Amino acid sequence: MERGLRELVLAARAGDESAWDALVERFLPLVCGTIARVGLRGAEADDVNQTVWLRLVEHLDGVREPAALPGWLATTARRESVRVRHSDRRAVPVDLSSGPEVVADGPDVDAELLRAERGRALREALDQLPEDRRRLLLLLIEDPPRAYAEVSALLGIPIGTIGPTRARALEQLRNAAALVALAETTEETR
Amino acid sequence: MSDDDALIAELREAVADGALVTDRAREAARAAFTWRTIDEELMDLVHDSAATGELRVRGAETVRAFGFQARDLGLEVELDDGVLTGQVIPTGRCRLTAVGRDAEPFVIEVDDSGFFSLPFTLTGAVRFVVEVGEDRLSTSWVSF
Repeated sequence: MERGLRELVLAARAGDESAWDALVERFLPLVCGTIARVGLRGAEADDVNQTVWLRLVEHLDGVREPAALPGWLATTARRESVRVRHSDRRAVPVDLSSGPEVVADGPDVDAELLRAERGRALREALDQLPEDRRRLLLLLIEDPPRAYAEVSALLGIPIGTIGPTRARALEQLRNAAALVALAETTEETR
Repeated sequence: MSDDDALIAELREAVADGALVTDRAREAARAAFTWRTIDEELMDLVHDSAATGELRVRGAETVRAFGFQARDLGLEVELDDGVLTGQVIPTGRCRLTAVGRDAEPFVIEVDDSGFFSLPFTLTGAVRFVVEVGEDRLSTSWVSF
């Protein structure tokens, strides 16, 4: 059973490195996704990611409400990314007559939190599927989409079974994702 | 779009987001924990030129300025064209060190008025450590 957010924060605060690693594993997609969607890549993205986690280390003792941690991470990642973008020397100089650009992060941060939560539930749910269904879904989400004949050849299953298997796999995925999300909500209101 | 097609699209996005996480990012995030300091007082970032949008542009370079504050001590730093200038407030004898996440720490000479000015080439995450007598204060991590 996965350890709850509150437990992880308290343990990390007490110096438990495995608890810290678990926090990293859980929220790294949120941080990396937020940075990527501000438009940073490569070394700049790495710098911001590093700064965010170093800030969390020093901020750890000040986290009163562990449930607020994802919001804090997304906000910090976004602000830091926007800052790096602004100071990017390769960037086109800002038109100073238009006044300072406002860092309006409210709606964007909320969107990132939702996306990260949903994404995590779906990835976990995908991992829980039986191997054949997981492989089928991974082929079916490829972009551009593969023809069923190709999928059939790759997986060694008759074309006629792909449609029904896809429907059953998605149903199972939907239920598993809902369970993951439910477990999380229960844990956070505990 | 059917519910199933919508779910496929969502799953595609979720898997792509998962792939944004690199081993490098994971290692850096994990390693951050070793920088945990319990005994040092923290100087909070109270002013950031980029966050407030008051970036000044001189020529092709951007001037970045940060202000840090602890209970009894303030630190202002500004990086302009590769030169770091700043002041420790209040003035007095202190030892100032720049600590790079990926570099050896180096001492910054502070004059009697608390001012300093030196060429600065550290990149990535940086923090400053001020030692006054027995007290040791660290700033938040920033990157220029």
